[in-house]
Parts: sequence; structure tokens; C-alpha cells
Amino acid sequence: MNAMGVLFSNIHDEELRDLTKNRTTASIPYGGRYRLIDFILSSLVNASIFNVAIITKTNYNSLMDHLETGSEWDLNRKNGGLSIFPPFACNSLKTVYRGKLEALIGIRKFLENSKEEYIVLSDCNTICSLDLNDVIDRHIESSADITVVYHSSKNVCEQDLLLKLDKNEWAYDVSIAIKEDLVPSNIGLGIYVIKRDLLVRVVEDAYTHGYIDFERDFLQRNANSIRIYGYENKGYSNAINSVKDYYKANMDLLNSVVRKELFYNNGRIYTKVKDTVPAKYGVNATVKNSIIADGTVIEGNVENSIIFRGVKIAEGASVKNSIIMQSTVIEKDAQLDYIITDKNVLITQGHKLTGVESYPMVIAKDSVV
Amino acid sequence: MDENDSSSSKDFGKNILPKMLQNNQRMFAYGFEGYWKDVGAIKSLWQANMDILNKEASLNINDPNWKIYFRSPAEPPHYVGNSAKVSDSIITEGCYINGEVNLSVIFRSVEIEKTAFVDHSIIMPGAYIKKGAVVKYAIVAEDAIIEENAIVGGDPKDYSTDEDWGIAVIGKGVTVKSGQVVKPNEIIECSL
Repeated sequence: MNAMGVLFSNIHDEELRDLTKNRTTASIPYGGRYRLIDFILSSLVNASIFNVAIITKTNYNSLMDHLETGSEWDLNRKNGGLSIFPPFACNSLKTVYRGKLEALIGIRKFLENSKEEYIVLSDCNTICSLDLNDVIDRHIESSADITVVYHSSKNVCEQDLLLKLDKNEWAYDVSIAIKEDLVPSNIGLGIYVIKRDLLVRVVEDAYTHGYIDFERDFLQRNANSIRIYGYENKGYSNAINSVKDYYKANMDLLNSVVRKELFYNNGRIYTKVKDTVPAKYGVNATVKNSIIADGTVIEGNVENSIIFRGVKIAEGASVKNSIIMQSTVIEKDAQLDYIITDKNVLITQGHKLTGVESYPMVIAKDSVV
Repeated sequence: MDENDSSSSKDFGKNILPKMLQNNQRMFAYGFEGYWKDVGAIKSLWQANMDILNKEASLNINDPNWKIYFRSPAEPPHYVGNSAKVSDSIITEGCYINGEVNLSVIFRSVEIEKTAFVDHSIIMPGAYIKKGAVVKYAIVAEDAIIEENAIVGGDPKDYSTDEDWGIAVIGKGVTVKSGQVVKPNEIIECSL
């Protein structure tokens, strides 16, 4: 495919504060063994897009650790491959960027020097397995200036990009939601296709005029002068903007239709491989309706939960409606309900923790309870 | 030297080592104290897998200082459903488990439906065990399909002599038809 990818690893860090204290949005663990970035990275390589730039901002150690050389995504290449841009890589602004347009100004030379005709721009907070070949084909056929990937949903979150589309999928209005709402809407997923030379011109214009925000300063400001095409993602998608979204997106994996759409329909989802042994179930384990990753040892009860690699759940312990991240240890007779434990948490013997569905409680990384 | 001996069966234990000893060559012994098993027969392959589940067998595949590396398929973590009952087993990525699994080793991308029962068995990648099927003391190879209510293998305590009983084996890609019975010790190499 004659296209390259540019990903923003830290956009949405603010909204996901509990989970991004020590990491980027891109490297938030998800679904037992993944990081959020795995979904868009896999969609790119599944569409044979092998030149991928990632613009980071803060806390990118966890992201570098996850990506390594990019070999898991077949991105360790001499031509193209993975290029990671720390915030000050080539930054004539001398400050950390505030929005995506400013971030792109920082890699203007890289964009100019690339050879591909099209660019896929994407945030890293959207979980979906997207057929990007189809998106780019439709972009070319429609001769749009920019294509916005969206999904139809009635759950509008604050700051969502909302598109009003005519019957041919052309956007005639672009707005940004001011508050949560329950109205059927076309919500942008933060994934765009644009011609590279057009993006270079947009970035130059942003620099000269002091524009910062891609959605507001480019899309919205030019909604009447450029051709904005909407591409509907009809498979599963979930843009994670809050801990509540994060919780729901994990629980969605308990649905077999969602698993099929995410993991099998449009090619595989690749992630860092850890050579962990299979999950081990003890004599008295009882597990119902749960996702269990490799390397876990389960002796207790697990129900409606997502269990990451290397978790240990002792006999008599009970885990319900919870997300238990990597290497968490839950000791004997502890009880968790609606809890998200970050990595390496220790829940000591007999403790009982309860959150609620609309507000699951997050236990910070490395905590001892 | 052994090369020129036409009567030699070219076996290390039988020919080469005794010959070296005869010729007074310098041979040293190294005492190995960890777990080992020569997997050269169906029974020992099955036993070696069961040893993973046996705490007394001193086989630890999960030693962080001595990792075992392997090729990883890009499969999601496995899903255990509402009707599942899993005990004393190991299960890996890509599986869908909604039946009963006891003392078994389940490889990647295996599907075990509701009301199926897998006991003391090894189920290899991509195998599919349908509703009501019973698999006991068996090795089910890659991509085999055990249709509804089929019975594969049996529990040794239901058989009086050692000759009657053994591990049942279902070959790669074989389909065991609905209601079909595969006796212990039987090896099914192609679908009926």
C-alpha cells in the first residue's frame, strides 16, 4: 500500500489519568495481553503499511519497552519500519507540543522526506481491527481531501468529534461534543486518511498561523472548503476516553461476536510476545465467563473478569467483574468486585475491595493492599 | 570406527559407548539431577504431559530463570464460558472452553463445547470437541474434530488388564463421527 502511518501515543492521556500516571495512552494494557497501540499498529501492518512514525510526549518508557525494535509487528526494517519521535526530536517550537498539529510541525521534515502518497493519522485510544486497505481505496475513489473513520453510536462523550453526513457520506458539519449525551451520532474515531503533500501544506499553514489542534483548527475551520468524507467502521470499535470506557471495552471481550470482530475478521492483532507458559488451573478453581491470559495460576474463583499474564489468584480468593493486570497477586480469601488492579499489585489475605459498575475502582501500579 | 563395522546397528548406547569403553577411551559421567523423560512412545508422551500437572514430578516449565522459548501464534487469551468447569489443567491462548476439563493439557485454539468432558487428555492445537463428547486418557492431535456425543478412550479403572487399556490417539485432522466410540489403545489415523 502506498501509505504510511503517523500515530500519536499521548493524545487522551489527560482523560485517562488513573491509567496514564506512568505510561502513555498507547501503552495502556488491555484484554489480558495487549496494549492499546497494538490495534492500530496491527491494522496498519495488516494493510501492508510498513512505514510508521509514533510521536510521543511524556512517560514513553513503557511504550519503548513494549515496541522494542518493532519486530513483533514486522516493523524492524531497513526501509521504513518504526520511527519513534520523542517530543523534542526536531522541534523548532522549543516547547512540548499542545496538540496534534503542533506535534506534526515537529516532524515536518520527516513527512516531507517520506515517499508514500497517503498518510494514515491515528490516535492510539481506539480499539478496533480496521481494514485500512478499504479505507484508503474509498478515500482515493471518492477523491476526498480527508477521510474520517467514524462509528455510529448513541453514547457521546465529552470532546468527541461529531460528523453530520449527507447521504453520500460527505460531512457538512463538524463539531466537538461539549458534554456526554445519548443521541445517535457519527463519532470520529481519531483515524484519518489524507494525502501526504496536503498534510505537509496543512502543517506549514499551522506553523505560520499558530494553529495547534488538528480537529478544531484544521477539520472544523475548513469544514466548508475541503471535502471531508466519512468512512463508517461497521465492526467493533470503542474509543477509550475514560476509566469507565476502559472498563467497558475490556468487558466487551466476554462477548464472542466482539472477539471474532477484533481478533479474527481483519487479520491478527500482534503484541509483544513473552514466552509465558499456559495458564494453570488448580484443583479447586472455578472460572466462569472470563478471559484468561497465559502464565496465570488460578486456584480461586473468577467470574466475569479479564485476567492478564502472570496473575496469581490463591485458593479461596474471589475475583468478580474485575480487570486484573499483569503480575498482580491476590492472596487467600481476598475478594474483589468491580476493581481494576494495575500491574504488580498485591492484595493481601482476606481483604475485600468493591467498586461499582459505573465507577470501577483503580488500584495503582505496585500498590500493596 | 563404528562406521566400518557392518554388524553395528549404529546405536550410541548399544554400539558406540561399549566400543569406546573397550578401547579404554576417556569417558566421564555427568550426573543430571533435574527432571527428564525419554519421550519415545505414546504412553511416555502422555505421561510427560501429565507430569506438568503433577506437583511431585519436579518438572517446572514456569521457572523465570530458565525460560522455555517457543513460537508464539498471534492468538488472544483464552475464554472460559459460563458452563465451563476447569480443574487441575493447563490451557493456552486462543481457546474457547465451555465444557468440563479435568487433569488435561490443552494447546492453543482448542474449542471445547458445553457438556463435553475432557479428562486426563492432551488436546493439540486447533482441535474441536463438540457437545456431549467424552474424551478420557487420550491424545487428540491437531485440528481433529470429535463430533457430538462421540466417546474417545476410557478410564483405566474400568479395565481389568493392562492389555485392554491404553492411551487412545486421534490423528491430525481426523473427524470422529457423532456417537462413534474409540476404545482405549486405539489409534485412529484417518476419518471413517
